[in-house]
Amino acid sequence: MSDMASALRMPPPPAFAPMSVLVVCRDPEELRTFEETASHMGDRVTGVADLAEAIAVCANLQPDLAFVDVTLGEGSGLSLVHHLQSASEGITIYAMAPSPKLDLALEGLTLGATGMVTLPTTGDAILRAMGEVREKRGTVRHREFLEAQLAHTRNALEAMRQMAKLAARGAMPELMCAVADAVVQVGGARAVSVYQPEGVSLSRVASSGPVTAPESSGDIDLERFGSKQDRETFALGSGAVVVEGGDPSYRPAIADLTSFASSLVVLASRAARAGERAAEPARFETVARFRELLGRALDDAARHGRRVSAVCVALSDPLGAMRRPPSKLKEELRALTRPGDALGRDEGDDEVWLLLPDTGSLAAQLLRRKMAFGAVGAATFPQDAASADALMKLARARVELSLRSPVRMLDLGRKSLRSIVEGLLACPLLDAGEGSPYPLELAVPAAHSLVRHACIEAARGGGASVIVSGPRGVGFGPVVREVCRDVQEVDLRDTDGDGVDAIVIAAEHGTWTCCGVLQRDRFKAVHAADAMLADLVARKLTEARA
Amino acid sequence: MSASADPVATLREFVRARRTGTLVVREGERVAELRLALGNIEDALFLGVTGEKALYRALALRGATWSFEHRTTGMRRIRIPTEQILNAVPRVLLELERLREAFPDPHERPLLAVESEPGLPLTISTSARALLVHLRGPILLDALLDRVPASDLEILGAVLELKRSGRVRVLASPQERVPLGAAEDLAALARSIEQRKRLRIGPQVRLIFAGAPHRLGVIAHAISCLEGATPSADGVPLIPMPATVAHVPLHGAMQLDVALCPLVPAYAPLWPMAIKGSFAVVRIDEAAEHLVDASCEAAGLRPIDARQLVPDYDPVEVADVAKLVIRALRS
Repeated sequence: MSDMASALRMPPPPAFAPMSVLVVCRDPEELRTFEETASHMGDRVTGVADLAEAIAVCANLQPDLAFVDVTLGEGSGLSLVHHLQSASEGITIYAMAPSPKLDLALEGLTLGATGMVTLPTTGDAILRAMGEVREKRGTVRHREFLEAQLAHTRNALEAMRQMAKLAARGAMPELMCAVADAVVQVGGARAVSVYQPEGVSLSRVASSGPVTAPESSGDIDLERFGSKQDRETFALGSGAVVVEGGDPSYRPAIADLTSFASSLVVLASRAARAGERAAEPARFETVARFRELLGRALDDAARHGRRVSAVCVALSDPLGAMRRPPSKLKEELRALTRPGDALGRDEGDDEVWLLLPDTGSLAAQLLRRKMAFGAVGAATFPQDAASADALMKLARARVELSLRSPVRMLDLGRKSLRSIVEGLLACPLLDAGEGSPYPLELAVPAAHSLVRHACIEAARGGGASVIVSGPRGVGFGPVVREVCRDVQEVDLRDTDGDGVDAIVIAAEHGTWTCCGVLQRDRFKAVHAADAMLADLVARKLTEARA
Repeated sequence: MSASADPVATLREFVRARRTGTLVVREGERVAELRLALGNIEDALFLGVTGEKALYRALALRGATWSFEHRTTGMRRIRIPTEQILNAVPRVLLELERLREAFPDPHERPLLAVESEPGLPLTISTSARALLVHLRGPILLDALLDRVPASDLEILGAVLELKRSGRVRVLASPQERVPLGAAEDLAALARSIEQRKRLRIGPQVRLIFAGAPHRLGVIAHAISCLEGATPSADGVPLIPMPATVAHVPLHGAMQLDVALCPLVPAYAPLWPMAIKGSFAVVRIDEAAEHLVDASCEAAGLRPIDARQLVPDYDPVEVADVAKLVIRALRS
């Protein structure tokens, strides 16, 4: 861990900008003297000979310093001393007059001028006056910087204290939000996204500000995203922080802050594990209470740019394909829950609800796979819906869809991969509905094009997880790897699936599977957007590999 | 042997000498082969085209270099007597040149058959009628000449006949870009898109046009003619499946990704993933209506009919398609 010096310190202010000097005088010789003297110091001189012009120029120019010939306009130059102060905040004015009329210059002092200069001027007198003003500006600026530095250090320390407190409690989601807020506050970023590992890719778990970073992605994607103009990616433990916009001079401060936060992530994980060991297993709430908890989780997720999944599991199974008693399934569900998850069920209901905070669509899909072919429907905020009722309605509709899946209709659950493919090829179009498998017969280049563009669509949202058979047959592996990074290639040689070509794509915004065989240079296959079939094919491919 | 001379005269010399072998014609990177057997023209190959069609194209090359190789000939595709061909060549080449003049910018402006309307004449020749099936989607003249097996002369004559009878239209050239909208209107549109906070998968705003593949081809061409439009780096799929076709700048860093969803039910399982996270889905015809509705419903969207957005739009007119895009994004 670094010494945190950068995080607590503000970057030094930029070097002084040159001063803007207004000279109100009719004598061109005098103006030239001012211009020549000021040019040595790099300052800018604007000369005017008229009082009205002086007021107009002052409003636009906002000069730091003005030299006014108070004898102009039969003494009305004096009034300019007063006007200039109101037209340009913080201006320093020197009243100028020839020796016989120094009383007018003195009068200028009473009206707010800082000093007086005798006309005709000398280079020394001008340099002295300008030096005094420069010194005064420097003092004010340094004081302002120290005040801002103090406030910055206080903010940084407070942010770190908050993060440390959350880490000690093992409150990982809150810690992630605190990191996002701290980077915006301390690092001056416009928007910040915090990512943590979810499966094999990284998913956004917290954000602050108007983010444009993807919701989920692999490391390389994020690095590529972060390497673009005005964005940067910082490591956060095994996750990442993507910073968008803001002053680049604050980047060392952000690096220190994320390094500190990385240590806290380790602490928080340890504390969370200790808490999990001590935690009670999740209890079953009533469905009404479950809905209320889901609503709260959604409010929280909307505020912090996080995700929430609601999962519905049907306990009854009209086709009898789910061969296990409901009591066993309930125990399985309880075993799958984490602290913070919630279970919901009303007495006598045929469905169980599972609330998964900080869980995206991909993670919910992996959970569904673990449930091994129960009728399960998952819906995720924000991809699917924004309200508790809508999410639950969608999850229930997906349960209905999985009850009509070919996995159940054709009882494919216990068959080998080859038998599954043969069964689907024999009767592909079950109901020609949205989840139904559809037959395909394509030449190999067309099949490659199909898979490549399906992967492009899947990777549109950031991360996509792909399991594909290979290397024999149609050879989808290289095509998929060209587009996606999270690719699991399964060699089916010498297994019962030898000769089968299959691919399963799981993305944040959907699933797609395609499986078939190569016959006389034509790929005869079925494909479907059916989550249950995708789970089954993925499971069979993984089992073959094992 | 290598020479650069009048192609017809050169060929005539080889025929007169009753040579057997292959005449190789080179013009830059384009190579044609004319195969001779005892002075008879048996076959010609030119950029994937064979037979008589390739022969006339090879003979039309100007400033080409010719060389003769003693290679044995392959299959015979040209059955017309060589003398007859040689006599016809000057007339055919002149006629081809004359017909081509009727199609300005043939490499940029695709052709498209007008969907049948009762007011159009039905008395068109058989060859012209046969050509209509290839003109259902936008196609460049050269691609049409390559695709249809008839001779170039016959095809050009038929296309000209269709054009004159109003059955074929020449589309806009992508060189003449049409702005999507005024800068201030696009800025206001971008602000309204941000405010509506619809679910977005990926960093850009995605608009989907769904319809029969040949109609989507016309929309895709119009989109490519919008100011700043760039084609998708991922290319076009070989099969009618959903894919992004172009990126169009909206305002500042905001960009519009225009995707097409050809409504071929065999590929329906790919629609839900393509539609999810899109800003809007514009339906340009009634193809596979129920499946589109189901995919849109699953994505929390309602497809919008193009005629509802711009009642009298003409997909061939780029300005009309720009209007359609703007109204879809405002919907």
